[in-house]
Amino acid sequence: MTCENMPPELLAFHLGAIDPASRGEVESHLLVCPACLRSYLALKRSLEEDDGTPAPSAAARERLRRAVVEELAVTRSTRWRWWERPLAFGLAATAALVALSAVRTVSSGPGAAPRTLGQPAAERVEHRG
Amino acid sequence: MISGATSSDEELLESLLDGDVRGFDLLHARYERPLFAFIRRHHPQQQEAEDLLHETFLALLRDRAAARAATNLKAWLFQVARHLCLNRHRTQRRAAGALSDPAASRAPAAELHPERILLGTERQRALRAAIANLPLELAELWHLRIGGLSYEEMASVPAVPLGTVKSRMHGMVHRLREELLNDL
Repeated sequence: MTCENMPPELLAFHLGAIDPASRGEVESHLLVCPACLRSYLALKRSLEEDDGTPAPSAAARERLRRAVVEELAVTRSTRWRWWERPLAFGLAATAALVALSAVRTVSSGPGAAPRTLGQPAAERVEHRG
Repeated sequence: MISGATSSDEELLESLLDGDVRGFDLLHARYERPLFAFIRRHHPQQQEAEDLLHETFLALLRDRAAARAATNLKAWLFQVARHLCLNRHRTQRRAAGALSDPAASRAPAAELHPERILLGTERQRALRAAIANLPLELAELWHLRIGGLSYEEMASVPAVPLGTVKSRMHGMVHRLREELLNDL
């Protein structure tokens, strides 16, 4: 690799679009040639810094930040506090247990038919009769 | 304590999702320019590009599960931006009733800052013009690469194989070289 054929390789080198053999040659040359190294750094800086594309306007930036703050406020107001979720689950579990207990009480009260394991329903009726 | 210099994207995101707007400020500072340049390549109109950038950043909050699940937040932001840009193209095509070529409305090559003579004014102008003339598919890759994405990350944005990205990058460099006539 010489200084003459370096320039076309620099862009490919910077973008990583270069075969390994050529990359090695460019790297070796840049280590020993200050002029080509300066050219490479100038290219790199030129491409990575401001390319003249207009930035978003101040109004657009302000509008975005305001929208983010509003979204965060909505999230905060609907989010569980640290003690609310365990309390809610605890209450739900308690209610479920109470309901289950009530159902069992009703189903095993005086009006309920005695349950006999293994006995078909028809035989149970005959017995009672 | 989050910091623009040392905090990872994921740390800044968690901070934001925990309600700290500074997490957004730091992510915004990090990615506003490359995202905006990428979006403007699709939609050169300033207002439209600002709207799309607005929606891209708000996706961090509105689709927080997906943002959290992303293996690479930087690539995810570009994916969101691309998705929004393509949706806008489709909407415009439907409205116009004709197939429009987004590349036909590409922004003119950026003017150089006169005080900056780094690469040689003519060479820089030629390079910018060549970049502006890239077809959309290659221009996307250009902006992703300049925005700091690795090849693997770039592949995830348009969801193409890594080999396709490498091939297109080689094609882009070849095309730029031809346009610049070896001036670089």
